[in-house]
Parts: sequence; structure tokens; C-alpha cells
Amino acid sequence: MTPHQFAEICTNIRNQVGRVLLGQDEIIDNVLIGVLARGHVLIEGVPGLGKTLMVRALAKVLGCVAKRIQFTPDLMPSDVTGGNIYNQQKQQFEFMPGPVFTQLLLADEINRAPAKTQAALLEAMADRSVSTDGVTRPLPQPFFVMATQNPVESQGTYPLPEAQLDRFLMKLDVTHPSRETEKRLLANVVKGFDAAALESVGLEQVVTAENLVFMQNYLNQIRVADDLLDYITDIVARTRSHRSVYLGASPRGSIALLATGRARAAMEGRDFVIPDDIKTLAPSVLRHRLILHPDAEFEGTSADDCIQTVLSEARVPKTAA
Amino acid sequence: MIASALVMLSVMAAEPSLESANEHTRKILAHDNYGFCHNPKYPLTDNEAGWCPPVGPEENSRCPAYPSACDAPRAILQDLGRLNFSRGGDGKSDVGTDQDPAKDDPSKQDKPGETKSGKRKQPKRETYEEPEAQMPELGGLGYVLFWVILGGGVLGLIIIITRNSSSHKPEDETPAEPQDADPAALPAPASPNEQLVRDVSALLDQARAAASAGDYNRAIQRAHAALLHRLDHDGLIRVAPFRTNGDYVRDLGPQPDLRGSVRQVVRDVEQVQFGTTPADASLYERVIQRIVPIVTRRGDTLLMLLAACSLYSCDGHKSYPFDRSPSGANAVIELGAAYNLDIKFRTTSLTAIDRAESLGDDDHGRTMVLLHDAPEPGASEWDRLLDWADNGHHLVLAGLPPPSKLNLHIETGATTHELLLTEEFDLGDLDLLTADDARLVRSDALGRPLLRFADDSMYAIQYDRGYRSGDVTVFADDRLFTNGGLMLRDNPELLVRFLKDLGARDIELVDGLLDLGADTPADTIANTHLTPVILQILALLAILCFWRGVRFGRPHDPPTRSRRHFSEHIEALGTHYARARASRHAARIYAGWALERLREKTLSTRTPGLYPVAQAIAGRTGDDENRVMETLVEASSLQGDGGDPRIAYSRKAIASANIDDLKLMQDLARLVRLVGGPR
Repeated sequence: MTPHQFAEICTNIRNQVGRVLLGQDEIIDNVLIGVLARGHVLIEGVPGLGKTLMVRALAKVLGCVAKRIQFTPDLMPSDVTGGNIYNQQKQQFEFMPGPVFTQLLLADEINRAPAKTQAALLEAMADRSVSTDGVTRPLPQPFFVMATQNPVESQGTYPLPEAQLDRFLMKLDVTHPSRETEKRLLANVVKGFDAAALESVGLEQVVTAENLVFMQNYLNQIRVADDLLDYITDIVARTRSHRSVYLGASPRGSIALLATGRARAAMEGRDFVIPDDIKTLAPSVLRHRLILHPDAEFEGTSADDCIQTVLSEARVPKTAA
Repeated sequence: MIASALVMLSVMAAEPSLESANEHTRKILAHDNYGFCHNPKYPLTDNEAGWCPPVGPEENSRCPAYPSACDAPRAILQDLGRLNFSRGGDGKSDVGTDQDPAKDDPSKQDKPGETKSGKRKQPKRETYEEPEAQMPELGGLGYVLFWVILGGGVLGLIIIITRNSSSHKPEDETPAEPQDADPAALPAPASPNEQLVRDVSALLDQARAAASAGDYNRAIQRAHAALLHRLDHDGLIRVAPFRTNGDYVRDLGPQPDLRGSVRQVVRDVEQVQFGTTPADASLYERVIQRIVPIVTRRGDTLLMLLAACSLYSCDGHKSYPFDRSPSGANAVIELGAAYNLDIKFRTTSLTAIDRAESLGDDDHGRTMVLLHDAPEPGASEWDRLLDWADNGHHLVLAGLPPPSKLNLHIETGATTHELLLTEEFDLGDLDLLTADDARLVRSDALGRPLLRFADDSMYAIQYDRGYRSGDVTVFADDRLFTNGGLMLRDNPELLVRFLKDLGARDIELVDGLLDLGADTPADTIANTHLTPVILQILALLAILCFWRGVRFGRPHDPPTRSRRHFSEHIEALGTHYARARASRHAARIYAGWALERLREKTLSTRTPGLYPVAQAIAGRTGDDENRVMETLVEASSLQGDGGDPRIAYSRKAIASANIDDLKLMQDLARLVRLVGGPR
């Protein structure tokens, strides 16, 4: 596979998903980057912006199986992972796999479930396997979790612990579409578009799950110059020394920045990473990994502000300035 | 139809009667703007003083102060330079070309002792002399300061330019490597510590030098830097160490063509910088061919400056310094406006007259009045003017020597100032006066006499032209068309009746200022004697442009906004408390807050007393229960202590209390932290 073929496939995927999800090109790109970089994506946005639709469309286009879990306060870990159930006929326990045993998993409103249930996803996301009653079962490949949380309603929610947040490759903020986009969306509905009947749209499957795994492996061939490793290290190190940041990004953040940079480079038909890849993706990759000082939060400083400050201080390699 | 008829009626109703023109003129001249009517010491020019004899010594109802002004000292116009010739000046011989048209035309040759118009030309023919530039009287210290500042400025500019150019010297003077030099022996690529060069031409030179030396990697980087700094100088992007090539391309969003070119360059450069593509001659050529057209756009700025200067010089605004003097025509214009006559000065050259100009919607054409000091038309212009009149328009020559085709000339010799209307020009019984003795002499019987002097010499003759009611009217002078002419008797009514009788509503006055307009922007600059100044400014701009680029200021990052750390606010607050010796007050507030937090964190129910709290804290933290209880009791006891330490205790006791209060707050803070923090 050449870089241009890779980029062409990615363009086709984007175009197909973009047919049903209007005006969210950047989110589609970033989610695709997350998929290709073998990561998981946390999306923060109000309900009704098409998150579920995107997962379903993505599953269709990527030829993967998708499932959805609606997280609620009474959701139990076994509701996610599955568990052993006694089979009276066979007189033995049998493992009933939970919804986590899928390829694309939408964890809707993940912060509605208690930490114990959220933690059930930890192993699945990090090791791509589930252990129950001493038995570890691998998850199907590829495995991708897209979790959502609502930033508005904080009553009765359980904020994701730092360990859980760090498992997510990227955190994306979804905003409302523009007026023009919303009008186009309504026009589609008038023409008969039904999000529940995705089959009627006629989305084409662009790749298979095996192709997708191959593309994920292809990213290892993307070249990363030594200067760029310095650039990534510099950015992450600066998050740790920023005066408003209590806890900066971990080495996992550096790895995530590198992986997403490679994915973006490949998606644009390059076989090498450039500083713009890193700089563009840094906010999405790092924003959920920073813990701010209380006084900074009190002053209204956000993680994005800190990241922008860091990016405006880190010297881009081989710059002409 | 009804509406338009109503409008016409309303206009007619608003227009005063012709008989009231004199009274209306009195109201106009009563305005303070017409100083010659109100200021007894108004300085009249010699020409304007020509009105003194007909006005006479007795008081004038429209211009009460004019008889007194006649006795006042005359105006000195020598400082007015080229405008000296105009209404306040002495004659049109100073206007425009020095060549007298009469010299070329035998028919216009005046008799010995007479000018061709018979007036205002003979006595004072002064030529305008260019005033020499002189330094103002500054005094000794002023001169020294002036030259010190001027010299310092020039020296500073030279130092800055020299320093700037010398900053590139080390690289510029590097001897070129031979073409076949060993690549291993070539200078190392640019390192981050290399001196920053922003000059585009220097960067391009470096790129070419590196390319000729075979170091294409460095050559491409230098060319790339030249491109970015060129765009930075043009204000299209902002080059900064933290910005990526992608940022620069996004900056060019509003210019898709340029953006596409830059994106292609950037792709090639990044392939070398971060990819595996080796830098070679073909890639360098490709990059440099895309970059050079973008970076070599320096002349645009100078062209824009020249264009701006040209536009400024083409400004059609016309100023007129004498319009409210006796020789001006502002009152004529105001009077015309009262009678729906749109009188204005012509601002375009007579050569621009269209022979076949249409008569307009009302079919009355236009009237053009060439005043005494109007630029004298050449033969071709006369033909054009007469053709224009033949087409139905109205040409009035007021004091301007008429064309030879009319077989008419102007000479002096009238023995009276009193004018009479002829039977041909029956406008009623008007009492008229003029100031000069210019009269018309015709060599045939063509034309209808309109006005004559009491001695039967002709003052105004009208010639009908063509089949479309066009006409040419010749006056011996332009006195009736000036503010001064409106002072006397029924002159205003005559003027209004005459212009109304012509029928045209649009009337143009042509005076001597018309010919002063430059034909080209270069003439404008030359006429204003600003050529040296503008050349110096352009030279300075060119130097600054080549030195700094279009953006002259030194590029720098915007200052970052810094905010105070929260702890700094707390420190400041603590300092205030310390200065006020309010440690007990601070301790009391903090103790109240800490007790609340400890109770919330340790007890789920609202249990009274401190002991359950101490018991829970000790159980959770492992501290000694008695010690915790002691701290809590001490904190609780502060709640009832409202005394002011500055009053209740001695200085020593206060110092001791400060230490105790601080220790108590530290103990409480430790307990709060141990049970889970403040939240």
C-alpha cells in the first residue's frame, strides 16, 4: 500500500460517513484518526449531535460490528463485560459475552455509571481483553470505543477518574452545527432521510475489518524524524511545568501524540510526520490528560488554554523563524 | 401630471419676482461674509477700486461701507504669487502663457497706447517671481539645535542602515565553494543557533550560493525562509518560532492562488525536512521556480505610492480665494440660486466641450459665461465654442476679446458709466451703471445691440447663432457679473433678467483659475513646487521598503497576557492582615471554616460537640485523640473571642499571639488535608 492509496481509502471513508453526518468533518477525521491509531475516543457534547449515528455509519463503512451501551447509574460491570451463567442443561457455568465483545462500541453517557462500572472498560480498552472469573478472553479486532459524556447535566454523574481518562486516545468537543449545515440536515430529512434506517441511505462499505487492521499496522511505516520526537517531548514536558497545571500529560500522552500524528500523516498521503500533525492534534490528545490547579480553574483557565500556551512556547523544528 | 404641475407651481411660488432682485441682493450682501460692504477699512485692489467713482461718496444702501473702503489703503497682492493675476490682480497678461495672442493675429493688434481690451492691461504688467526659500528667523540657539537635530537624524539613519547591512556580511562575504567541491566538506546545514536572517534578498542569495555549492538541503531551506519572510513582510502571514507551515498556509486562506502555490512549496520542503526525499538539483529548481515569482513583488509598493500620488493630484476640488470680494462672483451665484439658476464655476477645460452637446430635457441648453480673465481660447477652441452655441446653447463673453469671426473688438473710450437698454433688449426701465470705460466696436452691422452707454457707444451685443436659438452675447467687460456690479442701482435685476431671458437654467462661469489646473499629475507636482519634497519622501520610502519590507516596523510577537497566580493574591491578602496585626481575626475566621469542613468530612449526621469530631479524625488519621481534641477546642474557643489584640494586649503579647495563631491554623490545615482536603 502506498501513502496515496491509504489517503484515497481514508477520503472514501470520510465521504461515506459525511453523507449522513453533515458538518462534522473535523470530528469524523479525528474519530478516524483514533480508529487508525488503535485508540479510543471520548466525545463531549450535548445529546442529539449524531454521535450514535456516526458510530453506526462508521461501522457500516468499515465493515465492523457495532454495539451500544447506555450507561446508567445502576449499570453493573457484568452488564458490560458479560459473565458466567449457570446452564442447567449442561450443569455448568457458561460465559455469556457482554456488549463489549464487539468491534466498535459506543459507550453512551459513560459518566452516568459509577466508577466501578466504568472501570470494567479499563482492561478492555487498554489490553483489548476481558477477564472474568480468572479467565481472560480477547476482544475482536479491531476494537474501538467511542464514549460520550454530556457536559451540561452534572447532577447524578460520576466524573471519569484520571486513570480512565488517560486510556482515551483523544477527547473531542462536539459543538452544534452551523445554521447552513442544520438547514441542509433538515432538507435531507424532508427528502426522507431516517437516521434509524441507515440501510436506506445506501452507505458503501469501503474496507473490511481485516483491511482496517492492515491499515493500522501500516502506520508503523510512517517515518518520524528525530526532531519531531524532540518536539513531542517538549510539548508534553511543558504541560508538566505549566504554572496552571497540577498534573501534566503522562508518557502515554506522548505516545498518543505520536500515534495520532502518524495516522494524520497517512491520511493526508504522506509517509512522514510533520510538525503540523503534532500541533494540530495536541489539543485533542492532551486536553483530558491535564489536571489544573484549583486556583487556575477558579480563574477560568481551561486545559485548552494551557495547551495553547504550551504550543505557543514550543519551538517548531526546522522552522524558518 | 398633477403632481408635476404642483411641483412647478410650488417652485414658481418660491421664486421671487424679478422686480425684487435688487432687494434680494441687498439681503445677500448684508451677510458678514461680504466684508467690503461692512468693513470701512476693507482693502480693495486697484481693479476693485474702479467701482469707487460710480458708487460715489454718498452712502450705498446695499454696501454701506464701500465709500469708506474706497478711501482705505489698497490691498497688497504681491504675496499671492500666481493668483495675483486673478480677480484681485491687474490683468490677464500674467495668466498662462507669456505669449500674447494678439501678436500672432494682426486683426487683434491694438492701437498705440491701447491694449486689446482697452483696460486693466496697460499700467501694471508684473511678472511673477519665484520666492526664494528662506530659513525662518530662529536665532543662534535655534540654528544650532536645528542643524544638530538634522545631522543627528541623518547620522542615525546611516548607522542603522549600516548596522543592518553589516549583519549579513559574514554570510554574504563567504567565498563561494567551487562547483565540484566535496559535499562532505561543504558547510554544515543551518543550525538553530545560526544567526537569524530576515532579509529576503539575502536569504535568496544564500539559497543560490548553497545550491551552487551543491548543498541543496540548505538551499531549499533558505529559499523556503525567503518565501516565508517575504509573505511576513507583506503582512500576509506572521512568522514565529512556534508556528508551523500548516499555520502559514492557513493564514493565506483568503488568497487561494497564493495559498496553493505556497502549499506546493511547503510540501516539497517538508519532504526534505521530515521525509526521506533527498534534496537534489531538480527539487531545488522546482522550489525556487515557485518561490521567485512570489518573492519578487517589491515594486508593487512603489507603484501603489505613485498611483496614490496621482489620484491625489487629480482631485477636482477648486478653491477660490476672492469669491466674496467685489471682484468675486459668490453673490451672483447666490442671487442666481434664488431665481432657480444653477450658476457654478466650470472645472473642466474648454477643450473638453462637446460641439454636439444635447440641449437637455428642457431644450434650453446651457449658458457659459467667459469672464474677463478666462483663459483665452485658441482658434480651434473658438470654433468648438461657436459650434457649441450654434447647437442651441448660449455663450456669453464678458470682457474677453471676441473671436475674429464676430468682426468685433473691445477698446476703451466710453465717456460715462451709465448704461441704457436698447429697443432690442426691452427689459423695462432699468437704471444701470458700470465701472470701466471699455466699449465694443463692430465693423459690420450684424448683431443686436443690447446695452449702450449714454454716449451711444456699445456695451453689449447679441448674435443669434444657428437654427436652434443658440446665441453669443458679448459684453465689453465682466463688471455686471461680479459682486461689485450688484452694488449699484438696477444691475441685479438686469443680470437676472438677462440670464432668465437666455432660457438656460445651468450656467457655467469660466474664470482665470480654470487654466491653472494641471493636465497631468506630474504637472500638478511641478506647479506646487513639491517635486523635491516628493522625491525625497519617495526615496526615503524606497530605502525603508528595501530595508524593512512593506511593513516598516520590527516584527515581534504580541506581548503575552500574564495573570497573577492565585497564591500571589493570597500572599497580598496575608500581608495586609499582618500589617493590621489581625492574626487573631484571621485565625478566628479560618478556625470557623476549618471546623465546618472537619465536621462535614468526618460525621455523616449532625452530631453536636467536638468530641465525636476529634474521635473520628483520630480514627481516620491515627493521630492522638487528645491532641486533636486540644486543637479543636482551641479553634472553637476563638469563636467567642472578639477582642482586638492591639487594645487588649501588650506588644509582646501580640507577638506571642501571632505565633500561636499561626500554629493553630497550620494544625487545622493539616487536619483538613488529612481528612480529604477542603472540598
